[in-house]
Amino acid sequence: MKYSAKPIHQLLQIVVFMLFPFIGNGQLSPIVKGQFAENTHTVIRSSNTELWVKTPGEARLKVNEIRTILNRESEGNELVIHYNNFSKVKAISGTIYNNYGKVVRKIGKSDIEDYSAVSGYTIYSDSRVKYIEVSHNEYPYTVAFNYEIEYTGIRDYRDWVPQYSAGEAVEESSYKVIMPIEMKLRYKAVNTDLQPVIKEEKGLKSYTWEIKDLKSFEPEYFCPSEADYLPRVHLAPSSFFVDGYTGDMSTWKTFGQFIYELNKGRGVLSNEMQKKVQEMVAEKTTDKEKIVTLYKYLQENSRYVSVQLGIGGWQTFPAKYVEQNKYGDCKALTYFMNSLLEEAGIESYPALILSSNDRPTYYQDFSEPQFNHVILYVPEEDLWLECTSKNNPANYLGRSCQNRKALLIKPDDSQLIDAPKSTAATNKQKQKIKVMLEENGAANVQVVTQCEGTQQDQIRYLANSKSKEDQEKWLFEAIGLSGFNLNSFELISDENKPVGTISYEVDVQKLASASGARLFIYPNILNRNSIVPKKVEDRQFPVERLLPYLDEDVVEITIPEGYTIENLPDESVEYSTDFGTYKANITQVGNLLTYRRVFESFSFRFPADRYEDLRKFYKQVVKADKMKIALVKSK
Amino acid sequence: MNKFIILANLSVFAIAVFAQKTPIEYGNIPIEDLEMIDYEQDPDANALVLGSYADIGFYRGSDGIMVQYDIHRRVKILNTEGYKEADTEIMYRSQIEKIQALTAHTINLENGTQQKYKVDKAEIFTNKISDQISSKKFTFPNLKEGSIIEYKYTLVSEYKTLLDTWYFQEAIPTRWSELRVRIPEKLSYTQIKTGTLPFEVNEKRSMTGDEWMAGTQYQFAIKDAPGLVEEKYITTMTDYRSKVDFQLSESYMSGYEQKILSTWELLEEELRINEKFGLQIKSKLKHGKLTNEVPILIEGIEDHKKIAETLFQYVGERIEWNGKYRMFANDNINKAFDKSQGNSAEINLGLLACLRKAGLEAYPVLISTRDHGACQPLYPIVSQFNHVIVAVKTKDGAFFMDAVSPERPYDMLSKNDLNRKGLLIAKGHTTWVKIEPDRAAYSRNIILNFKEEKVAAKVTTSYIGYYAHLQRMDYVEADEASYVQSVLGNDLDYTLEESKFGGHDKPAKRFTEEFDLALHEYDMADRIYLTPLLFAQETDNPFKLKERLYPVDIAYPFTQSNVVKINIPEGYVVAELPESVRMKIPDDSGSFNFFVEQKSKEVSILSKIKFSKTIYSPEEYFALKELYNKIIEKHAEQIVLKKQ
Repeated sequence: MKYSAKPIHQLLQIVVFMLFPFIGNGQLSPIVKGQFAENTHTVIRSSNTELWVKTPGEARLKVNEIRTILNRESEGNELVIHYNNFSKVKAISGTIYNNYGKVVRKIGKSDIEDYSAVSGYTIYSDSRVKYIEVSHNEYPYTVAFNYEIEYTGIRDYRDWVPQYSAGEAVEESSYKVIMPIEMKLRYKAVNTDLQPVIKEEKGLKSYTWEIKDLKSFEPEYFCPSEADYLPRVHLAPSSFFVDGYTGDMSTWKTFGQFIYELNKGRGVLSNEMQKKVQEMVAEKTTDKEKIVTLYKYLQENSRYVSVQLGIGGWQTFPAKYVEQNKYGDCKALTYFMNSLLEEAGIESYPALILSSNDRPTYYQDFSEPQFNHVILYVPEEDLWLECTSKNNPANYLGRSCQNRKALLIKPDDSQLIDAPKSTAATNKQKQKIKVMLEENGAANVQVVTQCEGTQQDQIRYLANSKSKEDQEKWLFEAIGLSGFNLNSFELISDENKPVGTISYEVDVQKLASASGARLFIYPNILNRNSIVPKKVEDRQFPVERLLPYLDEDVVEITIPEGYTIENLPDESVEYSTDFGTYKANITQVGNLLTYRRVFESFSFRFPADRYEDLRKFYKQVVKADKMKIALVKSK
Repeated sequence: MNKFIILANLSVFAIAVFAQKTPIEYGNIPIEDLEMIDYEQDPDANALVLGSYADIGFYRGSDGIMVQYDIHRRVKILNTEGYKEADTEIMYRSQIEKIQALTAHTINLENGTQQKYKVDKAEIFTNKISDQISSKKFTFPNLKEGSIIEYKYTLVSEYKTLLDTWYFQEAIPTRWSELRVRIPEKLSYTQIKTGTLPFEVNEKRSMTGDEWMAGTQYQFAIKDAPGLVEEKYITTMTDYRSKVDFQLSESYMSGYEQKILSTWELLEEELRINEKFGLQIKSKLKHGKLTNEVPILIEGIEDHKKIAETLFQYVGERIEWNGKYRMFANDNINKAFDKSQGNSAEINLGLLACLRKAGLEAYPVLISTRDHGACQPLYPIVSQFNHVIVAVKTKDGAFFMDAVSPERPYDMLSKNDLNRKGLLIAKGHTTWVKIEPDRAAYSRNIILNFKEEKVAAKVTTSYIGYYAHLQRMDYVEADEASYVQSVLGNDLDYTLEESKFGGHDKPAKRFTEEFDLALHEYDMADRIYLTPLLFAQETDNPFKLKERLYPVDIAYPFTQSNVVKINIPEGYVVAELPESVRMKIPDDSGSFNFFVEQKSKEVSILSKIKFSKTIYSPEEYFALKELYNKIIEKHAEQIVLKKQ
């Protein structure tokens, strides 16, 4: 797709445009080549959002946006509107203009698609999506989208995010909230100093934010998640009403209290179930043992099935539902577990959390429901339970629930508490490899890899859910060697600790490459880092890594009779930096070579100017990992 | 009366006419199945289909002839990984179909007795997927390892042209799959069976009764079908899956014969007058807006290939493909022109109309894309096609065109189009034509020179055919530094000093690049160790499996040639040099040539990998695996230079 053809046409059209503007306020002035950086795909020419809150349960959102699509990479040609049983999308309209502001066509009913927003794990949810995708054969072109959403139940207000993603430049964007004077709007601006203009008129208060001229940017290696640097204004109600329920979310305490009340009394177990709990814990002496027993019972007798309806998104199904169906979503399973523990006399509380691979962005001083998951906390043991997992040991949450806060739902005392933190020592991989090398380069290799913490999640899953055949297939792809026969293998996960072990034995046809009298081998046969972050001229973002880990490798290579090492390095290689440490050395005793490598990657956050130091460290690691040993046959 | 009401009489007739037992009876579970711990035939299976049964028949409803499907399915859950079989979704066409009498149960063995748990109606959800398609979604309560789940329902449909495909085989093993179809006398269906599993039951009998009951009943059953496992380098697994399709070929309605479809010639006639096909090409009312430009565009161009190229660019850029493969236009070409967007038929039939207006000899060719499944020329079933491309005949030769992506050279088909054959539609000459893929090749020269401060490498690569297209797309979509890094990989420590590119400004079958690099890998120590092919070294074998069931289909043949010349630095001699080798698979269609030679101060290495066929049998898989192991072995061998 190219810009319009002949320059003379361009000139004429601009002249014509200036004489007879099609749209009065310059929003559709033509884009000329080079006006925006190369990484810009979309330009938001103007975006105006107006949220009119009438009562705690009724509101109307109006959006008018004009976007110029610069090239095929742009996703600005898509409009996605979420809605559910408490919101209705009205008055969707749109127009496509060419680069000179001339109307190409208007969007019609047949362009609007309607889909269920159900994800694979969900059997049913009343979330739906209205979707429009437009296109035009000449870039750049401009599309104007307008729509309204009518809310009959409110759980949150839409935040203002003027710049949604990399590749997007913004010329002007505004957000206006109107509410009755008696209602209180809570807001928090992050990554910007922007203040709203506040006006009062006729019993209504309005808050208006405006921003102009945001440049597009490009995501970089090791950069923080977008929520950490994109300007955003969080908006949330104080009092709210949805599906017949009224609540107050002014503080984490009041919001937690609402959730508590909403779910109270739903945890009644049947008489049978109560008896069963008593039987199961009868022989157990400590509370810890009781918790582990009941948790195992939950894991063996339930599975995760998600049904989200209405306020159901926040309210759990009763415990009896889980008892009968032996399935439930994260809320139902967590509250059910909570009931089991209560029956055994152990205190526990559900905790709302945002499960994700990024650093979540909720704040102590601004309560806003951003959670997508529920887990269970037992205070007396400082122990956490992931109730949707059939394989996790007690007190282990996967990576997506670590290093963040959770909202503990406690009557009259809900508060944000810390979920488990991960350290390199708790995310460890220890590998012991024994190699019997033959003259022709073939080798028998035995490997035992023990993983802890997030490094073992995959092993646990495979060991518990996949057949031996499927495990073998996985292993075939995962083993970083070429041309081998897998003689034996085993995947084990520890029942009580987040530890998983893979052991296997292979015969490799060519582990060392042979050239005449020499054999060449990489002592670091299975754990070579090969990626160096790209060189960047003007790094914009801070350098961040969220998850630390530690890898320890010991490789023992028995070299064939009559061979010596031609190039044994005298010293070990050692690097110690703010991003991590690396140490590798190789020693020889008789015909046994021992290679040792320890690589610890820290969790860190530094300003952008440290990027070159980070690159230097990785370059050093990659080069050291590529170390080759030449073995020569002594005469 | 509601057209969807099942006539109670129907079931009475069913019992009277079909005294045969059904293979599984709802609610009646043999105790051995409940006690089963694993499935002998496949001890690793997570779940097993104990019985999958469909009975298809026709009846007259108040609004016309309806097809009725009675479906019954029973599955054994062998372990927790099999639980996902319990998440059920039954799709149906909401405007013309309805699901009734849906019942589902979990059956467990508890303390030696059968316990049944019914799926609550409140837990069965109707999900609107789009305006035309909805589904019933539900799951089963009280599952444990060893549970049996079963459900049955009736689906009534107005749609008769194609009966829903019946699959005898799926991802998990199936102990018994049976289909019974009653075709009334008044209708005639063509049957197509796919797959190699033998039938345990394959019968045909005539049935008597009134109107829609009289006819022929077909009964097919397959026993112990293994679970279907996805494999790489394949067109689509659907090609190998045991199934049967029925397409309406004739109907005798109101007493006279109406041939729906019986020969390829008749298909041509039908398509010629079809509003969404033939008329799109013929009628100016349908394509005029697009074709009006043609005379201006081709003014002054004599060469037919150049005309084809010009019109290809024009149509491809004017109408953007919406991602849908179709052989029929959705609206018409003019509408697609207005919207600047269309499906694959609107684009290619539009191209065809343009070519004909320009006076070229061009024809539509119906094809089935690789992911849609293979064509089968025996029966004129139209649903096997999902796409239409264009064949052009000029005095310089014939070629195919597919304008859904104008980024490709005009006479090169996309990889998904390469499915061996297509049906060329021409009045009186409709015929199957072979689709021969373009090839893919690259030829690379690397020259290494050792200087005091660095090792200079000059890399010159020439890409042809599909490789040229793929490289050019990578180049166009990234900045130059990223592109060069994608070619040289992450392992090489280099600085790019200069680069030149050719053939990148427009789609072509040839793309060239030249890099001048400084390599920082080598210290001028006593010994220098070199892996001669540098970044072109093959390290991964694409053929790893112990066993392969299906043919390997690589879409297009390829040749990869790397020539490295190393100028031995002053003061060094060659201490170690790999040996030459030559290896090929039995019929010579796959080969590897590795040739090493030293001439005074220069060492040269040639590596050539050539695959000239596109389809290799499962038996040849092992030869391919061994060939790649040899390639990886030789590519890893070092050259050692020693200081004198």
